[in-house]
Amino acid sequence: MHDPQQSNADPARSERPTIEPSEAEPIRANPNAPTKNPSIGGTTPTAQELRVLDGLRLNPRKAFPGRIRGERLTKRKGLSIEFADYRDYTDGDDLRHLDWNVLARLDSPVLKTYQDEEDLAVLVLLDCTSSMDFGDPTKFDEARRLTCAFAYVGLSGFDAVRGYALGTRERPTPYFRRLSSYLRFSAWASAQAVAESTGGSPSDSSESQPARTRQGLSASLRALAASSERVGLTIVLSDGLDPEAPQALRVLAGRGHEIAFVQVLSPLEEDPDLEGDLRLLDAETGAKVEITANEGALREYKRRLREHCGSLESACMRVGGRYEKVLCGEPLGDVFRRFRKKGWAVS
Amino acid sequence: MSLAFTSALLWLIPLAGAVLALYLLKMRRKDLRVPASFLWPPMTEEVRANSLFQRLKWNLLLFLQLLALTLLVLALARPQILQTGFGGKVTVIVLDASASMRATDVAPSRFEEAKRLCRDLIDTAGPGDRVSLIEAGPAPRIAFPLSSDRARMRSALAEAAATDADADIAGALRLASSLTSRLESAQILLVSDGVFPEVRDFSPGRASVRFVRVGLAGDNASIRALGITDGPGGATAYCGLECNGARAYEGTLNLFADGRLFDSRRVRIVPESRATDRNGASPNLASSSTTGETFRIPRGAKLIEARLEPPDALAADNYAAAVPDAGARVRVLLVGKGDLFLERALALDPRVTLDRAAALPDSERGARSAYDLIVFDGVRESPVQSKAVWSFGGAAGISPVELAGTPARAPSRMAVLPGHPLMAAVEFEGVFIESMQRVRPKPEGRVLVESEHGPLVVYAEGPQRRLYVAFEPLKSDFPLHVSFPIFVSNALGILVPRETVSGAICVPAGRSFSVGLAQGGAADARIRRVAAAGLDPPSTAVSPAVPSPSSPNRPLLIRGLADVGRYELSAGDLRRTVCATFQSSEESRIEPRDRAFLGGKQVSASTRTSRMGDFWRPFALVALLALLVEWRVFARRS
Repeated sequence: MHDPQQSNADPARSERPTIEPSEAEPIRANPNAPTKNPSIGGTTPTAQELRVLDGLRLNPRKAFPGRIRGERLTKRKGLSIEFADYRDYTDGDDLRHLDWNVLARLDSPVLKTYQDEEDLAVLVLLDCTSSMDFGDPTKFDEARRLTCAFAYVGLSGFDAVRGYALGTRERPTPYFRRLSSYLRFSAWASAQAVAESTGGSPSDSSESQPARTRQGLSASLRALAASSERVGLTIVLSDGLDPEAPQALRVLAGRGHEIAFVQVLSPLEEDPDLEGDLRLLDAETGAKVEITANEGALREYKRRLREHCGSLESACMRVGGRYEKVLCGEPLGDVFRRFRKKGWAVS
Repeated sequence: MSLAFTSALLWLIPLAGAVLALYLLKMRRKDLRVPASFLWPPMTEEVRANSLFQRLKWNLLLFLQLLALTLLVLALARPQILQTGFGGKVTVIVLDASASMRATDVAPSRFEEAKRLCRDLIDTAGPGDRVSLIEAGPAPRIAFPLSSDRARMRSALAEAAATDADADIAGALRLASSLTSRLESAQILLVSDGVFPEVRDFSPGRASVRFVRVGLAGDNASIRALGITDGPGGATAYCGLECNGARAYEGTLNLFADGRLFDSRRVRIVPESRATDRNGASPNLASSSTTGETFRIPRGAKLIEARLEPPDALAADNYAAAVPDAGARVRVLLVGKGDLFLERALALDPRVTLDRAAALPDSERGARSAYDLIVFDGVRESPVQSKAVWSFGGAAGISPVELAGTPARAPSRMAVLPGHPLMAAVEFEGVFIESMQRVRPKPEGRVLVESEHGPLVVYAEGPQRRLYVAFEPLKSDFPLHVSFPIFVSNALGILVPRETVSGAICVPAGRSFSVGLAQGGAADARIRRVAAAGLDPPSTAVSPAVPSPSSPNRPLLIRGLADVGRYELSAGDLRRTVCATFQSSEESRIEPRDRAFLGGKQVSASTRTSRMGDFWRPFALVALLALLVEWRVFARRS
């Protein structure tokens, strides 16, 4: 059987931009964008890493109606080579789709219908909340690389890719539909920074972004759900460290989006190396918690983190979405091999 | 349990306050930015604090720190508990053997009770304990030296006995101090009823002094004095009675003449402000508890004895004896700065009643003298009317010598005139004399000792017997020679001749005395105790030790008789009655003392031989354990 979500045509592959191997540096639209670890932690994937992504296509579980003709089969009848059904001929139907064999044998005009092929809306949501500014490399850098990688894969499949910066009230990018738009997308991603918070002093919150307005992760997701954004595959790249995040994901899925949640965490978050008497300042809310970082406290923290991650995964699974946890510093190729193995993407 | 340094507990206030303050101060925690605070539990364990202020909360660390601090401060306060044994210390037990220890307010007597306490102590002695026992009688003696031999200790303790005499507690303590002076941790344990004068000239050194008290009550009546005076109507005896304690004494005062009862009176002696009434009917108010009774004594009586019956807690002072014979008493006035050797040598004669004066009293400058003998010891002599005069050093007319120049130094040759009774058994060989007065003998003077610088001893007979010695005893080592008491005894016999040699002798119990004997009578000298007037014969008739004179001409020197009562001295054909009496106002006040003044400080009495041993080590150990637990908890929390 042919995968209904997979197109059998690849007419635009020739439009793929050529990236020479000599371009080992991460692709940067913004030359001032930080690059903390060129080998694994650049703001955008390197050319070598992108080469690993060549040939991959995003593999949503659901079919979504498109706006224009594209590479994705939809439920609507249209013009394609994928046979859908027969129906009785009515006046005005295109005689080219009449099944002449049936007419000759049965003397009854029957018309063949085909599935329509439209574009897929891929929303790549980059979490820019203050909590992402943590770790080395930071979770934000890791999420930004993954954002570019997903955009690259989406654009490779001629999907309509749009970038959202969660945690800010900035406007999303326009829909990019050609791989040639990748540079523009990556420039947008490189220009993103962690939103300013009241609770701490994030390094990236600077005077250069006075227009950015802080917004929590769950609030951003709820705002997206409430907007008139077309539904599609919604890839969320976030640490998910918002107690309301599971509910917000369910709300977003209820709007019709297919959720693919990539939780980016730092290894230090999984196994914090803390000791002594500390006052913890929440990077987003500024809330303060006084702890004595001893064995008991760390054990309790890990239990809570496991519970929270489990609730995120459960929320994604219950709405038919996907969930995957990625640690900062993981090679991009390894991450996408895992995605491919789990059906997030196909060759 | 008690604390040796209670004031050390005051340290707990600032130290515990400081610890509490640290917990009241709010902790200044290190700020750390985290992605999400909701994942972190508010689990705070206060392990340190350095900022202001917060509510005090239950904290195991605070409890452990306060516990350790409290235990440490308690250890500093040196808690002490009752412990048996000697605790590994060198212990010198000073056992009071004075007359008051024979009081029977504690059965069978205080002394036996004290011995029982000492025996219990010895039984609890550990292998490392070294103990010595000093018997504090009139002459302190070491009953057993420092030793760990418990069997020997018990044996020596069993032989210890009290005497009817004053005890030289100060001497015994000095002896104990000399035993412990070189030891680091030693203790002197005085087992006594506390009935002794303040001990001032004593320093325990590094040793600790404990005073274990025995005795319960202080009720005691005593014969304070028994004197005989000659009057126109005959001899009269005066008997002074005293009562100490809280209860009045009712009894009978019996008077005996030569062992036969000749008067008996009912007496009631009331302590403090009440006095004795003859019939005990209506007591007369008086300012003192001492009262007196007078008796006319039978003619020809040679020995008067008085006895209070029934005996009370202390029987020794219920008996007194006196000799009516005038020759049996010699009143001696010693004028000078004081010479202990001379005083003791004079007191050896049981007839002597010694008075001391720094200068000749005006009453002696008149036509009559109250003394039989006046001794000028290193002071300028004055004309007196006494029967005899004895001068040392200075000569001013009444001595049988005349001054012949400046004092001479250290005569090297001294010759003694042999045959004179004054020099019987007296040797000057080896005597060192620092300086002597150059004198010439008067015509009536007879030189008994001659040196190259002139006469040393000159004697003159006459209405007033005069003896001159050209040096002061303290400016020579003559008092340290055995000839000195013999010389003094001979001099007393010459200057104040004994008018009778067969009369009774009354001596204080415990005091040594000498008795003049006929030629050759000392070889088989014995003294034995006989039944005193009104008393049953003594249970034992063991004679006290009588030293055998090395020379038949020497007087017989008898060491102190331990018990009050009548003795019979026999030496050859000589038979003399010796009465040992006990009259001591200090010892008759037998009420046990709560504290004793020993060596410049008051020592509180204890009724237990168990000692308050240090108990700080367990406290320090538990404090250390608490600190270890606290450290463990701290390490786990942080």
